[in-house]
Amino acid sequence: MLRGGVSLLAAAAALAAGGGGPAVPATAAAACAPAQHPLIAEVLYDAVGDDTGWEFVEFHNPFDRALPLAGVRLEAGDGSGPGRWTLRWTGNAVDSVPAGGRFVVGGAKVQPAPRVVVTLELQNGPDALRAVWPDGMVEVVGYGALEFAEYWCGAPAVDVTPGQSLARVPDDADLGGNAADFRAATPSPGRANRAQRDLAVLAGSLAFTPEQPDPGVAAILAGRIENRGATAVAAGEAMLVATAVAAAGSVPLFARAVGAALAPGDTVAFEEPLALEAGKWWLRMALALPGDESPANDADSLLVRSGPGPLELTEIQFHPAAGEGEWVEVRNRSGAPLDLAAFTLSDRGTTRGVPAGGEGALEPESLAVLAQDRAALLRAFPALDVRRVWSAAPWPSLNNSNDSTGFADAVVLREADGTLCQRVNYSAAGDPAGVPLEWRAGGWWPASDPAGTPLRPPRARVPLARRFECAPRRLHEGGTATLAWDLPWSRAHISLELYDLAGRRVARPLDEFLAPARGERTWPAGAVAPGLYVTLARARPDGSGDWIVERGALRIEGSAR
Amino acid sequence: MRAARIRRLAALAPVALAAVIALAARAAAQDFTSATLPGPASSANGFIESGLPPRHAGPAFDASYARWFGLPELETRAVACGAGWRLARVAAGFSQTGEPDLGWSAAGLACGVARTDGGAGLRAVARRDRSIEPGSAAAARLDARAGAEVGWGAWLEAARGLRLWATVPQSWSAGVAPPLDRPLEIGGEFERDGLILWLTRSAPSGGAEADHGAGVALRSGSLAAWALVRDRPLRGGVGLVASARRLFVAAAVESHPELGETVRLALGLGGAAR
Repeated sequence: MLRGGVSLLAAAAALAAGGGGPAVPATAAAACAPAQHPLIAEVLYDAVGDDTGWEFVEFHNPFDRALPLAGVRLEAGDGSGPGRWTLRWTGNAVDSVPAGGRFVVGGAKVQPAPRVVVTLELQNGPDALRAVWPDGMVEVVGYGALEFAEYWCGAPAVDVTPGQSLARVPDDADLGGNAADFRAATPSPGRANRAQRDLAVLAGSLAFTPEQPDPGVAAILAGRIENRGATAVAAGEAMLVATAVAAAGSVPLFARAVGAALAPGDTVAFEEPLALEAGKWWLRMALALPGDESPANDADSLLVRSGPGPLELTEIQFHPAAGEGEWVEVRNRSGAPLDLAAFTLSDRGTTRGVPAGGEGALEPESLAVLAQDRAALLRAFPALDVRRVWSAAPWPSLNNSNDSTGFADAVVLREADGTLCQRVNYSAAGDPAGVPLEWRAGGWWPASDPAGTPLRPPRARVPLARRFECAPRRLHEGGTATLAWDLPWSRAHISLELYDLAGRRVARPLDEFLAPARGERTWPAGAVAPGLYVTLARARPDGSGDWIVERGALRIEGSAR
Repeated sequence: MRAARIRRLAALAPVALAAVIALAARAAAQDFTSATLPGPASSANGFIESGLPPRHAGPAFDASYARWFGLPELETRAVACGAGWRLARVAAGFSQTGEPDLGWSAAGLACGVARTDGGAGLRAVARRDRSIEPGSAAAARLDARAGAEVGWGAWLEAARGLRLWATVPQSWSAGVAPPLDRPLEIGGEFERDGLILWLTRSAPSGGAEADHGAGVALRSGSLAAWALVRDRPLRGGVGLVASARRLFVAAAVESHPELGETVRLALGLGGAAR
C-alpha cells in the first residue's frame, strides 16, 4: 500500500510511554509519501527573526482528483525527547486539496494568504512535523540531527537556515526518505516548489576578492548560479547583470550572458573582474531569464568597500606582558568626527566587540584605544586621556602565535552595518614577547617603544651615524642591549652575532628577522659569559642585494667563574 | 770578511726566529698578544702570556701593538722586559686594551726555570677597568673593578728539534672576569734547518669543540716569513720579520672570514734564542 520508503511507526508505543501527545491509532503505519493522500510539500518552521505569523505547512495533491483533508491532524514534534507530539491543526469536513493543487496552513503574515490561518509554533530543528490521517496512515517529516526514530522517515532532512523553507523537490518527490525528498528552498507557499524555469543566484555565494581592494584596482566578484527549474537553460539564454550602488547613485558594472548550459539542478560559478571607485558600495548581482517563474531568488547583493575606511588601526597589542590586557589603537582618517560606538572590532572569528566607555566623537587625525580591560590599561598607562580609551565587548581574544597560515590572527574593524573598514592579518613571528606591533614605514613592525605607545604616534627615531649601533657597549652580565639600525632599503633581513677575541662565534642573540629601514630591537645577554666580544651585525635587502656588515665591540662585565 | 758577516747573521738568527714566533700569535692571546706563540716563549711578552719560560737567559725588551678585527676601539698596546740568570727566568710587563669605556689596563709578571731541554713557569696578570662610573656599585668594590688570573706553563724537548708543551693561563681567577676565556692549550713543534712546523690544540671550557692551529715558518738570513691556519672558523695569517743586529721589527695580519683582519706590529730588542 505504501508508495515507498516505508518504516513502521514506533510512535504509538512511545506515546503510550511518554504521554502528553495526541493518540495515534495502534494500527497506524508511517510513510514518507503516503499513497492516495495529499503530501506535505513545504514547511517554513524558522523565519528570519520572530517566527510568529510566518510559519506555514503546504499540502500538495499530485493526483488528478480532489482529496479531502477532513480529520487529518497536523502535529508538531519536539525532537528532544520521545513521544512529544502536539496537535496544531485538524482538517475540517470542508477542507480539501484540488487535483494537482495546494492547500496552505499557516500564519497571518504568510503571502499569499493561506487557506487556513493558524499559529503553528513549529520547533526550529532538530524537530519534526507529521500528518496523521483518519485511516491510520502517518506522514512524518523530520529535520536536523534527530535522535529518536519516530521523528523522521527514512532519514531526516537538512535543518535549513532561517528564512528558508524545507521543500519537497519536485513536489511529488518520493525517493524513500525525508533527506532525499526535501531540501532548503526559497519559500513558495501555494506555488510549485520546482518551477519549470527558475534560475537562481545561490544565496550567500557572492564573494569579493580581495575583500577591500584599492580604488581603481581590479577585484574579482564571484558567485554561483543554480538551475532550480524543471527544464534546462540553454547557453546564452540568461543574462548576468551587476550594478554598484552607493549613496550618490548606481554604476553599471557589467552585463553578460551566462555561457554555460544548465540542466535541472546544475550549478555554475562565475567570476568577473571589476574596479570600484573609493567608497562603500552595494554590489547587486541579478539574473535575467525569460519566463523565470521565481524572481525572488534571481538577485543577491554584497556590501563592500574600496579603499581605506574612515577608521584605521595603528597599533596592536596582542600579547600584553604587564597585565594591561589586549588593546588596539585606531586613528580617525576620515576628516570628520567619528562615533566609535558605530564600529565593531573582531578577530578571525565571528565575535564582534562594540566600543563603549569613551567619551565624545573622535576628532579627525586623533587616536583612540580599544581595550580588552579599560581599567587595567589605564592603570598601566595612567597618563592616557580617559575619554579616548574605550572598552570593546565582547573582546575578540587575539592569538599569540602563528598557525599554518603564517599569521597569528586578524584584527578587523567594521562599521555598524558590517562594512569592512580595515582588516589586518598580523604575524607574531619575530615580535618579542610583550611588544605590540605598530604601523610605520609602510608595514607592521614591533613597536619602537617595547611597552607600546597608546594614544601616541610611534617614537621618532634619530638618524644613526652608522648603519648599526649596539648600545650600551658595556653592560652587566644578564643585562639587555639594543641593536638599532638605519638602512638604505625599505625592508631588510637583519641578524646579530657575537664573537670572542679568539674569533669564535659564541652566540647569535638575534636570528635573521625582517625589519623596516629604521628600527631597533633589544636582546638579552643573559646566556653570554662575561668578557669582551665583537658584535657582527648584518643586513641584506628583502629580495636580492649585497650585504651590509658592521662590527663593533661589546663588554659584558661580571665576576670570574 | 765574508765569514765574519756570516757569523754575525747567524748570531741574529735567534732574534729573527723569536720575532717570527712572537708574531704567529696564539689563538687565545689577549693582554700580551704579540709576545708569545706555540711553544717556549722567545720574548718577555710571550712568557707573561703563556707561562712558558724562554730557553735562553738574557735581557730582552719588546713592545707590541694589535688592532683586533680592524676595530679602532679594540687595540692592544703592550711593553715588557725580561731577564734570566742561569736557570731562572723572569719577565714583567704592562698593557692597555680598548677604549676607556670598554677596555682595561693590565700588569703581568712571569717567573720560572728553564734549560735548553725544558722549562716550567708561572704567570700572573692583574687587570683594572679603564673606566668605572664614579659612585657606582663597581666603584665601591675592588672585585667589581679589578680582576686577576694566575696560570702555568711547561715545555719539554722530547727529541732533537721536537718540542712539546702545555699551558693553562687561567688556572685561577678572581674579581672581574677576564676578557677572554683561555683554556688548556697543548702543542708541539718541529724545527730543522730554518724550517719550523707546529700544531696546537686548545680545549675550551664547558665542553665546547676544540680549536686547532697549524703553522710553518721559514727563515733566510735576516728575513723570515710564516703562515698559519686555524679552524672554527677556518682562517689564516701571514707575517714577515726583518732584523738587524739585536733589533727586530715585524708585521703580521690574520684574516677572519667574518670579522676581518687582525693586524699586529712588534718592535723588539734582544730576546732569547731557542
